[in-house]
Amino acid sequence: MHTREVQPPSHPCSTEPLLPILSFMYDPASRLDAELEVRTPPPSPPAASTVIPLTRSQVSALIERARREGISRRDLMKIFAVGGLGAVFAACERPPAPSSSSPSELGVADVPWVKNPEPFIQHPTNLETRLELLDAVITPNELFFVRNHAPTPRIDATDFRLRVEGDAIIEAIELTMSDLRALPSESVVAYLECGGNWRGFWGSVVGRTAAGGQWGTGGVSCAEWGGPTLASVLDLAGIRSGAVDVDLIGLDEGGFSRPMPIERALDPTTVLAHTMNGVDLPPDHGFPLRGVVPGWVGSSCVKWLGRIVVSSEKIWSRNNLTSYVLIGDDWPADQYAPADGGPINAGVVKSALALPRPAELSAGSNSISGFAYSPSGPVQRVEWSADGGSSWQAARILDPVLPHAWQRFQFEWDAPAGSHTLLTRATDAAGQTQPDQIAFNSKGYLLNIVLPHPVTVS
Amino acid sequence: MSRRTRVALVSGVALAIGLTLITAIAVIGPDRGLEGRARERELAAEFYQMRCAACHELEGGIGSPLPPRVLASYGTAQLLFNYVRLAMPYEAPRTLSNEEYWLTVGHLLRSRGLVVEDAVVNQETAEGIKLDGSAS
Ligand code: HEC
Repeated sequence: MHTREVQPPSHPCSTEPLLPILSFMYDPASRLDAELEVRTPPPSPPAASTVIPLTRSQVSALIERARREGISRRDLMKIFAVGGLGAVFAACERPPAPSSSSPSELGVADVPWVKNPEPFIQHPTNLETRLELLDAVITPNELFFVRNHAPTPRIDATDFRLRVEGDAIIEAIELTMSDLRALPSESVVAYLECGGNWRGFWGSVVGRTAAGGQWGTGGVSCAEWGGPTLASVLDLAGIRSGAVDVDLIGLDEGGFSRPMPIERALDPTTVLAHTMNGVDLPPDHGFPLRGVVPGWVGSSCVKWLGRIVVSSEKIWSRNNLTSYVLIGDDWPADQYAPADGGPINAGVVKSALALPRPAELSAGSNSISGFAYSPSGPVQRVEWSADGGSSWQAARILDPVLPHAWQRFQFEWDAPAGSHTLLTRATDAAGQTQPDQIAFNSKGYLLNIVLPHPVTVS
Repeated sequence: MSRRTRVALVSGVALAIGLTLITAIAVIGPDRGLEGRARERELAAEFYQMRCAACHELEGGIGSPLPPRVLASYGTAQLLFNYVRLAMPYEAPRTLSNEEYWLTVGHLLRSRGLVVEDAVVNQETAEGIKLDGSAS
């Protein structure tokens, strides 16, 4: 099974041989050919004389140059797969130095996060958790994934105010962090997952590439969150009858905003967290305050929360109009107007192995573990298969089993030498299980098909 | 034309553009007359083809087609610039010069009809370019 490895474009020093790109280029069955179905006509050539048909020697020269300049084969193939030769040349052309003006000159941050990105798979604005580094239900803050739409803002907690307002609020209020800390605090252990987690696999497992950040399986983590319920905060301002939607708005650039229905806002599991695993929220996770909406995708759990709007009408924002919506044949646009497609709120039942991808194991008995989760409470059953799904065996679900957390599972595999594919399949308390087939949505949300995990045993 | 030929063609064009563009960007000075501005628009379109289009204009690309509504949701040209500069091009974020980022942002806004054809989109004007349809 062909699986795409999702890696940061930041390992330019690989000494892997570059030659396989040649077969990649000329192989008619290559991904390049398979995926570059032209949506709009290619740019019309400015003049026939400027169209340079590429010879093998030019390609070799290019590869030679890439090698000299320290661009790895993987980088080259990736750039190539998406940008054609021009992009490869452009990449060779430029040193990986930052832009010409300093960030402070521009008044914008140059780095999207604050934490050390080393342990993560790096994406342009996101840090993907390596599940193989985790061996407990609680993800340490340093290893918890980051999904940012703008750079992490640095907020001074002493100046911070949470404003609660809107036409369905009786009296607009502002709360300081001391006010918020003085409210009765709830503790909830909950996993958070980006709605686009696994997006990078649509191409290989469903045959259609989805647009958006190309996550592997690590856009998910689990922590203990502490803070007052959203309901208790809304109560301080007073909610009018007829309230429909509650919008949480961040203090990051652009003010990330994701509205939710009043019922979900008042649900006792919805909290405004100011602690994460017992310490103040780290900057990348929303310091000083964020929403946590257990079971709902990460976009509902707005970080750096500065403003709450309660409205007697439905609220629309970018994140329920064009982003975080399901767009595809199964979601007729006119049914969801003014949104581009069906909203995504709750996540879906999933399981993933705590192994690198692809994994390398030694022949013989291996103890394999992983994580399974569902928005509808603890996963009841995890099965695994090493024979492509012909036979399934039960994995053990490990303690502790908590209502909104993910569950760890484990199984022993007597692995014979060779190349294998492991499959896992989770089933939740509501009987929902990971499917073998799934309807495509063009922005690639909520993929939870049984996912092949390539393993080499030596 | 077979897909492979098309891909080779696109690549060839991109390659040719790539080699001339870097020089051309440097050659166009800061004091751009009308003609200079027209040339800059051309360059912007070419640069976008080279560094952005493969993901954002091809069926099956990992970037969305960036319809006007999505771009407008950034609110101002400055905020769109800030995002593009932070996150794009996806395979090598934060590696272009600010001039190149302004060129691509200007091209995106023009080609999606969010600003008029001869609008100047740069550090000085971007804050004032509101992307709610009332854009200048
Ligand atoms: C290698 C493929 C690739 C290239 C090349 C690329 N992009 Fe993207 N682009 C993406 C992906 C993937 C995303 C989604 C990123 C995310 O959400 O984390 C994206 C997102 C965007 C967005 C935000 C879309 C939204 O929904 O808000 C803009 C704007 C954008 N790109 C512009 C550009 C520009 C301008 C360039 C050229 C300088 C460029 N891109 C080059 C893949 C690419």
